[in-house]
Amino acid sequence: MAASSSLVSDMPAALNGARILVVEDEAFIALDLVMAIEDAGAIPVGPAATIAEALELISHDPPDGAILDVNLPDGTIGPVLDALAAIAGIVVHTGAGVPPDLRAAHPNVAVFSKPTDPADLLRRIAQDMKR
Amino acid sequence: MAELLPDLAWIANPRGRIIWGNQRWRDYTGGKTDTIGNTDWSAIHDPAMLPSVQAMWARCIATGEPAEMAFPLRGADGQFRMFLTRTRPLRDANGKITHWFGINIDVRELHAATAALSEQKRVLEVLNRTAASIASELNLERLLQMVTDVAVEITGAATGAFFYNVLTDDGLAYQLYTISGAPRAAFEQFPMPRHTQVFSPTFNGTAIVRVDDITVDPRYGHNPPFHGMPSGHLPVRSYLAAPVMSRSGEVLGGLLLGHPEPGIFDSSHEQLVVGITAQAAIGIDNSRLFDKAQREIEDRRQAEEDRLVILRELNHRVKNVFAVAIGMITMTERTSDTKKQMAERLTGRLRALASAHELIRPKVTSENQQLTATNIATLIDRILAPHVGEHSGQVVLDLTDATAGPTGATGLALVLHEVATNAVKYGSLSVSGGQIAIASRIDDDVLTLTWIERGGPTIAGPPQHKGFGESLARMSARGQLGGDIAYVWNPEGVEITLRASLSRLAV
Repeated sequence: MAASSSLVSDMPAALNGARILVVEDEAFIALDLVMAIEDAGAIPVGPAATIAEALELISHDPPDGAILDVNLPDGTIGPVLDALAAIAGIVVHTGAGVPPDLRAAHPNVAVFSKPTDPADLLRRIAQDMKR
Repeated sequence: MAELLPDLAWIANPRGRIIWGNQRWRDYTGGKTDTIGNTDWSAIHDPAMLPSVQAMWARCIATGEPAEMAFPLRGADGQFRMFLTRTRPLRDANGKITHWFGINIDVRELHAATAALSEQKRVLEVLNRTAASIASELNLERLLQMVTDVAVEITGAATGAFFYNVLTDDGLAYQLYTISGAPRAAFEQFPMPRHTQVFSPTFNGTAIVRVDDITVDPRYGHNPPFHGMPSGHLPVRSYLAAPVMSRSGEVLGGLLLGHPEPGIFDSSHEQLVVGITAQAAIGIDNSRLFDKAQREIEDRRQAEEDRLVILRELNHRVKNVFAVAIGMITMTERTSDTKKQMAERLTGRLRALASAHELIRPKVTSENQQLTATNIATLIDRILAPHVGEHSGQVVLDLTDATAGPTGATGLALVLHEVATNAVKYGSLSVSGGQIAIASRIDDDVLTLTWIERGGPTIAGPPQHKGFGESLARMSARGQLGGDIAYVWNPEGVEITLRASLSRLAV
């Protein structure tokens, strides 16, 4: 069968070898994102299905970028955003939108409405990466 | 002539000294001769009125003008009675005053009638004012307070109370009440009036009760615990109570009036109370209609808000479903070898997703406009149906049921679908003699679902590579369901234990 929609050659070189965290509780979406990260030549971290799991991963292995869902089973993404804001290129990938308090705390974080092509999410992460 | 007059008549000399009185005069004053010719009038006059009577009389003597004045005169029995007194001079041919003629007309009844008229005028004014206020007052508590105050004012009661019927499950209770003429604290230590013999006609709506002295009434004091007036109760002897009836005939409440002295209320007060309670009933009906309308408006506003919440929620869910479906498509494409296989797997997964959504669609027609939860037994049944089909005898269910909300149901559906797909492809549903026993139990917040396969192809051991279905099931169990999933690969069949948090399932 043909490869996925996103081709390695289309993707920014910055993603090569970059570690990208996925925080997403919908298994299909999470696995799709993981595959897309691999396709882009980056290294997936996670996927984490909960805030607690994500914070655990970050503390052991700080990522270069992250794709974050907003509503997780154990709360909203706030603590993860706080932990990553200074170190990673972040995109928020949400069906329900970002609560106003989170938006106010992180006004520059890119927000994409679900469903968005994983390739577009990754291109934006490459732009915002801190190194 | 003057002797025969029904009124008191007398004659005075030009200097104002009474020199003759008729029989009625003598009878009324007690025949005391010293009232005739006596210049000390204090014996028959009200001391308060005497100075103005004397002034009037002095003016008559000085000017020769006739006069008219009402003042009380003391009778032989010592009682003062109101008289209208008229005086006029009698003159000779030269116009010189020879005598003064005076007449005292007994106006007690007239006076009483006038007083009654002005009292009636006052009462009517109060009633009129009340009618207007009651008609415009929609707040029940204020309305009842107004009615109580007015009733006390126009009947001369010392205290008044209005008990408003509030229906409770255990029959009638009089919970709402207003008081006039006494501090609320004076009532609060007592239980609400019950259907005692005294109160019953009022609260059954059968009759007005008027008692001159409640403490000697035979209906009084029959009920425990007080057997009469509770100690510390406001002293009440005169008692007047009337039911307040709705236009529909429903008894809305009762107006109770009391006074510490006996015999205060008469039939006219009873009539007044009838008038007041009629107005109160109209006011209460209006207030109820207003409240009902307000509630209706509030309900509709709430329903509209609920609909918007549902719409927003649905919008989010639709976005999410598309995101999941896109993930499904790309993931299925990656893990399928042929188009046919991909189409089959994708169809199965989409169908499982659709089943979960079918079960939790919003009930927009019902009063509760929420996305409804479903129970896991129904969900399991629905997810397995396409796989089991002709094998229905091979599946044994033993379920303790629990509810699943929109997100929980989707997660559980996808996990079950992957597990069932595996059973059909490689497990005990791939042969005709195989069996699956599915059981669930609940311990505190944890739902444990066991899936035990028997009689399928013999299993050599754990698969070499974890299938996509398995990793998907693990992720869903860990994330959305807040639990885990364990696989034990027994030779006679796989044994799967899924644990899920009930509170996560309910989301």
